[in-house]
Amino acid sequence: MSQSENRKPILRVDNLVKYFPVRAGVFRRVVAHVKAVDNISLEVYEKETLGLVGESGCGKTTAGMTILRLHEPTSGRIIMNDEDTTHLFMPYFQARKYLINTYVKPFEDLKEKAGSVDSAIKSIEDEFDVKMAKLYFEKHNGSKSSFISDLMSDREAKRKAFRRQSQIIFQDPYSSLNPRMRIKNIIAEGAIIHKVASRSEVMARVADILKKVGLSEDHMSRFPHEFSGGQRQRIGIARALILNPHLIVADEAVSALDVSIQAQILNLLNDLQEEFGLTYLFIAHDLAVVRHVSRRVAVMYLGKMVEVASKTELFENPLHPYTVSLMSAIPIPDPTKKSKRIILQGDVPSPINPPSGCRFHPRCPIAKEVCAKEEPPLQDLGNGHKVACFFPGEMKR
Amino acid sequence: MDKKPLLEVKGLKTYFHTDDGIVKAVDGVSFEVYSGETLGIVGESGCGKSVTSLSVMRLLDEKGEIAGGEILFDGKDIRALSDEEMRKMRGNDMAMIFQEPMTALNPVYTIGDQITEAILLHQDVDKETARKMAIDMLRKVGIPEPEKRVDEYPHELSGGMRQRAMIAMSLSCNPKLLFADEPTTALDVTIQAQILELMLELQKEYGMAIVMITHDLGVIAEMAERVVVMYAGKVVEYADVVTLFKDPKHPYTWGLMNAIPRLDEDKDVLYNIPGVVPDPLDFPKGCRFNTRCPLATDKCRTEEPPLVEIEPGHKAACWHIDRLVEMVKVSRAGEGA
Amino acid sequence: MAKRKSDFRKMMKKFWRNQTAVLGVVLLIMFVIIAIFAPQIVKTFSPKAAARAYAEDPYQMPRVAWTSNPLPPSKDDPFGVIGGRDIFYGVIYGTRTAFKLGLTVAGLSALIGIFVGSISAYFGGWVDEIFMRIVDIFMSIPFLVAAMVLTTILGKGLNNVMIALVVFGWMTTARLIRGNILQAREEQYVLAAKALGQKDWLIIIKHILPNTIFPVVIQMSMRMGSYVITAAGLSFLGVGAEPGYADWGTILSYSRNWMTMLDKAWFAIVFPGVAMVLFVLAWNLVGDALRDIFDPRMRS
Repeated sequence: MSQSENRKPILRVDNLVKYFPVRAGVFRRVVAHVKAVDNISLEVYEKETLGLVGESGCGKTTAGMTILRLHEPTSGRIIMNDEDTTHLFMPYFQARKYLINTYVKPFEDLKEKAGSVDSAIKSIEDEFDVKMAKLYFEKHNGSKSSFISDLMSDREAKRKAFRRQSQIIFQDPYSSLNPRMRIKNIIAEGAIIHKVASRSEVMARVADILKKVGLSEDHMSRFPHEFSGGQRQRIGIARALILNPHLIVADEAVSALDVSIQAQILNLLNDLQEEFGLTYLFIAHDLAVVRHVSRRVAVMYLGKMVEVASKTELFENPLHPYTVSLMSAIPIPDPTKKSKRIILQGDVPSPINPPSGCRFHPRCPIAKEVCAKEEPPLQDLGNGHKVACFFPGEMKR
Repeated sequence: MDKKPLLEVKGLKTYFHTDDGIVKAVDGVSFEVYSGETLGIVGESGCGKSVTSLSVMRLLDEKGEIAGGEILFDGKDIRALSDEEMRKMRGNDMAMIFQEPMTALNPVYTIGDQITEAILLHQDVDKETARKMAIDMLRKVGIPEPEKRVDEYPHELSGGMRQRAMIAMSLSCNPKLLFADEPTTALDVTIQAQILELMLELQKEYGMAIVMITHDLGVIAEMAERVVVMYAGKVVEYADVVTLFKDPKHPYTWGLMNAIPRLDEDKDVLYNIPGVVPDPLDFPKGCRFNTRCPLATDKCRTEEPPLVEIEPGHKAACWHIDRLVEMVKVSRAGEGA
Repeated sequence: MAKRKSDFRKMMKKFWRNQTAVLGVVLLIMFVIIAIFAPQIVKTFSPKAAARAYAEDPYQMPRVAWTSNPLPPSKDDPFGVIGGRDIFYGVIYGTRTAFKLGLTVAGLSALIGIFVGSISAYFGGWVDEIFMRIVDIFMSIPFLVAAMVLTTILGKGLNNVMIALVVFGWMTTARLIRGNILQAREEQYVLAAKALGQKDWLIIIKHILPNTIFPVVIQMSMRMGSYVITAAGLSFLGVGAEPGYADWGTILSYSRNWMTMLDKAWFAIVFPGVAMVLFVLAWNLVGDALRDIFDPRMRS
């Protein structure tokens, strides 16, 4: 909360949008878009775990993949370690266009409106934008071409740095390891791509990391099919760790595992976070798991962020009707606590054609007229508790 | 509980003959199901919970074989029935719903066709009546506009709606016993809540007994009255739901309950059940849980503990029930993997 | 876990338990032996023909008689003579021709297919569209007719036959590889490699191709036989190998004129015919067995 304000965000996502085209017909014309992620913003602070939770089709996985640029974003800005990384993976001309539209044009407009460079910079509130404006006006004297060539230089090296800093752990321990590669080669791949050490040093590191994730050196020359689901998930974690990343996106990392194995992996992730100072973006559909691992939690519904808060705040005082019903829907493993449930009606609508206004309004028990017409903004109600609802807190458990 | 059970399974053994050897998927499992109650079978993948239900329904594939034990339904020995008699029994007396309804529904027939077919198979009605009954059934399981949906194909329905259709189909002949094999595992939680609610309502209305097979302790706590905990083809604990959750006696049950994160409370560390589920081709000697049990002694490694009644209605298979308190210490120590 | 037999050993066990697979392998080994020891075999069983073989081109069936009438099997010519050529010599050396043709055509068309399929799947979009439409066009022409037309244009000779077969034989592999790559591209280990910063072409080589290549190998072995049959068909029709070339189809083509008097020329059909049938059978049985083994649905 106030603590998170002081901490630096390691990852910052502004207005991220990812649409997937739906093609049809002989000419493969785009007939519609799957609006998987539709304008979400979030921050992940250093060494914390942000839980990103929602039901299938809410866009949480797409968000994670787009942040890591396994999908190219449709629009938005992704800042990592105080560096804009959005333009790094774009084709050259698109990257140029992005830089002009995001920085050069707005800065020039501001300068014109404010009359001088100094007052223009002063009128910018966002810290990162101030930094970019200073870079533009002061270091490059307002020269578009020099500003752009500065940001466009060494893109390959910057891309590689980004890959080293951010890694992913997948859901399916069966599909996430190449069945025809030995464990040591699977884990070593990252280190070899980035040439961080000689081959023998890399192998020593692989052995070391295997021990850290609870496997042994003897496993190095085996193939993935010789391992159980939980062990495979450990191998996947080892692969993500080899490059010493800062940020790990864990995409449903324990959903496919049995209860007893799930606990092992959750404890392991926790230990590794402490040991290596990792930051997790933990994507999951299981609210109980998210509660266990996260410091802050973000709830998504149909491509939108509906609520963000610290864990204690969210679980004690959920404000969005969707969050409330989601919590109420989960069966509690305690037969003496059979509570009456809020049962949401209907299914999650299609992200191709989402409802107008608040996307949750067709299923919302407290929806009013305004909810169908206007989209509620994500507002901060204090203490970093943000919610996108016109009637926050009006629905009680 | 002194009335006669509807289903009585005694010492059931189901073996699979694979290329690698014999898999004793279910090895001496006993339990009873009474009319109108819900029995939960809980366990992790490979514990034999699904195979148990398939054995009772006699739906094993050609590699599987019931190698021993008795299955009595309403006093009748199911193993002695002819295939034809068994076929009549399925659907009429007992039915089943699966985790992924898409695989259980035939993609080339409409929902209506499939329910109508089930009705025509078991009831002496004409086609028109059967269709009306199908539409009624769809309405009862909460499918909106059943007159329209009855002519839709399975792929046109969402996951939740498909599971409703599957339930409609299995209940169309008013069975006395319904096996539900992970019926909500593939569904989102808000849809799961709908389906669980629906099952409870239908049970009230039709009075069928339900065998709820799941890995989810939350679903068990919500739905079941009595619970069977299975591990590696064996029943390790058997009790009514409140007793089981309040006072688990088997180290495995205790471990499971402490391994899950809870929505209603914070836990610092989850209990680690160390190791992995043993290879079904090569189960450990003695107690099958001994490789993962912090209380295991030499006795556990050599002699198999019997399932004994500790108090009325509460059975557990462990040599060291009195030492379970030690588990708490083990977990406090925050032992690693 | 440790007690599980390794996948490979399990597969081999499964392979050897499959009797038709074993038959296929035995037949294939037999053909390989015949091909390798062709000169020795001919020298032992048909010394007269071996002595007359053309030293500079052993693939020419030697003339052993100066009559165009077929001569029935005898001590000198164990399989008889047709068109003045020793059939035994032709059948034995024809094995070499069959391997040469089958392996070259299957290998080259697989290579082209893999190349086109990979490019198509990798670039997607209009590149994919264009390549796949080209595939469609090629596939819409009947294989045999197309090969005939092309060999007629290129002229006789085994090399031209091979070119014709490759030109019209790569499409199925291309389609197969493209489909498999599109499927494998969605696998999480491919995304994982991307997240590690692996180069795109290395992802294809290290992660995608090794997991998509087996179906191609199986398909290659299945098609090996059909290429040999097609080539024989071309030779029979007179647009294949040059007359006198040691090739099963060529021997058959000599019998064309004796179609109505098969009692006089049966040996010119039966011996190369049986060789051909067994050769095709061997490859198909092996291919079948490979498919059973590598088909993931058969494994559990």
